[in-house]
Amino acid sequence: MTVLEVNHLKAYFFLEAGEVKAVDDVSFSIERGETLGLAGESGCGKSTTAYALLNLLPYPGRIVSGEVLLDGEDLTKKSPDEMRQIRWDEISMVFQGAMNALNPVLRVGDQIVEAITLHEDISVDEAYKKMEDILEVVGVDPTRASNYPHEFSGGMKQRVMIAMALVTEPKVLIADEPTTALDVTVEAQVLKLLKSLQKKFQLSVILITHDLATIAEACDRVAIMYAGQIVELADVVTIFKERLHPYTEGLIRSVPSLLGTEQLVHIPGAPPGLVTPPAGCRFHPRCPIATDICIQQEPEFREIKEKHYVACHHANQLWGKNVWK
Amino acid sequence: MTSAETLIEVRNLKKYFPVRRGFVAQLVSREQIWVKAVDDVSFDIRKNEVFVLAGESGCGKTTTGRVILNLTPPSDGSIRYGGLDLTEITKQEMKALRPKLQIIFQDPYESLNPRLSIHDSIGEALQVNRLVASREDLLQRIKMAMEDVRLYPPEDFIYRYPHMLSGGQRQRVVIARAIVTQPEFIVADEPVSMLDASIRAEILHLLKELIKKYDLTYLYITHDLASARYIGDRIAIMYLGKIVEYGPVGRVIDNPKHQYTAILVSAVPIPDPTLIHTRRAPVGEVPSPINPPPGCRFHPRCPQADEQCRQEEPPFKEVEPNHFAACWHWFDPKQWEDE
Ligand SMILES: Nc1ncnc2c1ncn2[C@@H]1O[C@H](COP(=O)(O)OP(=O)(O)OP(=O)(O)O)[C@@H](O)[C@H]1O
Ligand SMILES: Nc1ncnc2c1ncn2[C@@H]1O[C@H](COP(=O)(O)OP(=O)(O)OP(=O)(O)O)[C@@H](O)[C@H]1O
Ligand code: SF4
Ligand SMILES: [Mg+2]
Ligand SMILES: [Mg+2]
Repeated sequence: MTVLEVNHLKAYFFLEAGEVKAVDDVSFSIERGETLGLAGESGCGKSTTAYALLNLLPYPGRIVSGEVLLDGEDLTKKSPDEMRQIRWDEISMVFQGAMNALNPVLRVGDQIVEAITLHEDISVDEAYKKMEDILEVVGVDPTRASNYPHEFSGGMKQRVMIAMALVTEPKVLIADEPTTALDVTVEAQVLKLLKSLQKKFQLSVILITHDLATIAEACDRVAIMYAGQIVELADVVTIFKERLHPYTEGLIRSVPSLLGTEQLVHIPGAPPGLVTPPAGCRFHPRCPIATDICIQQEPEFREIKEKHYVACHHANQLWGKNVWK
Repeated sequence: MTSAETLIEVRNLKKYFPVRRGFVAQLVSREQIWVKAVDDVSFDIRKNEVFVLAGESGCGKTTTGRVILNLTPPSDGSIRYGGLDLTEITKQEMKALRPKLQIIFQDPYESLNPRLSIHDSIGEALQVNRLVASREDLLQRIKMAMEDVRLYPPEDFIYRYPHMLSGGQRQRVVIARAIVTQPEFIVADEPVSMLDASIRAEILHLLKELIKKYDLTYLYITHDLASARYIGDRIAIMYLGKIVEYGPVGRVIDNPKHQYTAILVSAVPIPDPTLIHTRRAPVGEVPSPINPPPGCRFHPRCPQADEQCRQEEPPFKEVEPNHFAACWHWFDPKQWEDE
């Protein structure tokens, strides 16, 4: 069952210097109980997509067109009040860098309790008990609940934010880089936690991360973004084993391994500006196999094989090839 | 590439934070309790090397970096930089040293002043320390640093404020700000954690290039062992406020001897969804740094722990040239064979 469907979403920031086309015609959907990974270059529009889904774009950002259907209802048409309710009950988000969203003058435990009592009608004692339980679940010693945020390490704060997003038991969780400050052992714990919650509540998760190992481990499907657009979308095994888009290929081949043996791919050039993105295929200035058509025409985002979508003119010739050799 | 010359010498460094307690708890006991964030660590950082500090969340990496740069005073121990003991110099002397000693903060959301444009954030230290001759010179230097960190084209970003940037773009501003003064020593605290693999590789490459260009030295703090291996020369593994193993980065990762290091290495995820990878994780919770376990601090979670581990703190022993571990029972891959 589809929970969330995004159609031709465009979200821009209107600056004096021009409009930043951060999300430029993005479409995808997510099923109940599924985890969709969203990866791509830094600055390509992942967080902006998340904000747009929640209708929460900061000024001077605006949804320009497109729809976001949650159980069939278009969220882009909701009033701020309606959205507030939906954000509590249905969609919850862990913001990127959210560890600083903790109030610096309140004890960590009290902040979680506040979130719990706002959402649920339970006694303060019960809320404290629940707070301690959830801290334990995310691997923070409950005796530290009386600490202030600055007394926590980066990873500890991040775990608290995840705990806060989960106390309301949402339908959809959007987690923007939720494990960046976590070391591998805690990360494994948090991912396991997400998985078990998913089973229990049929929770759908949009996991935004640049960490491809996290994607490999936690996601069912993956969308790869480049310069405001999704360039490839498929199930996780296809993305790692049969990817077609040259950007996806370069991205995956630039991950260093612990063995430190392989030659890393280097994608030449710099990320494109989003005020005036390159014409044609946005990746063409950096693509090793670009031809005239790539410069002139924007490639269509098409289904090249069942449930495998790619936006590249030459996708058909790329099966099994490493274009970065 | 590392010369043997020592740039920074850290000896018996400790940093304890007092724990504030509730009113009732204070009535029950007046004894002050402490978070032993850094508890007696010693190491040398050699000139022009990348010295990595790695370990689990909360083990004291950031605190160590902050104390070394004198951003917070140590509870005990000394830090020598060149001929100076940083814990004893005057404010004046420290101020003169500042542009030479930079930090790339772990969290770019917290460390950029929201009221300063990117231009001013990066340019501030250049202006304050009179390192530029003119406005044009200033603009030139700022743009160069922006291009170095792939904030491209600079004109698109230079007059924006931090909230108008993505996470990874902020992180790159923090890096640009640290390198623009051409420092001698940088504490880089998880500097590339918010960057995608491709830009990350480029920035790590850039940081390495700068070693030659500006005669730089790094303390690189991370929990990402793969990037540590990519950029690092030597590595120290921290656990609960203490260093447990150190040596050449390739050797420590390929031939870990402390039981904790071995588990940490095997916990690194591999980006391949078809591999059923047995990620080992240390059993149980990280103990609280308030009451660290006696003996070897890792013993409550260690598969090999015995009576000696529970009682006596293991000393450092040389595993192979320049590679040291403080563990009573060195790790042997055979241990895991029949699992
Ligand atoms: N408030 C804003 N005003 C103007 N431009 C903005 C604003 N917020 C973001 N942008 C721009 O929009 C683009 C997309 O930003 P976004 O935060 O969505 O990137 P991202 O994919 O999440 O990147 P990262 O992985 O670095 O967090 C970036 O180029 C960024 O500079
Ligand atoms: N100002 C402070 N007051 C009290 N405790 C603190 C303070 N700063 C840090 N701590 C504690 O010291 C310990 C070490 O923290 P530190 O930030 O150095 O960890 P870290 O290794 O950098 O972790 P991470 O990888 O999560 O950033 C943690 O238990 C933390 O809660
Ligand atoms: S459309 Fe052309 S430029 Fe774009 S990725 Fe494909 S081959 Fe490269
Ligand atoms: Mg982002
Ligand atoms: Mg830290």
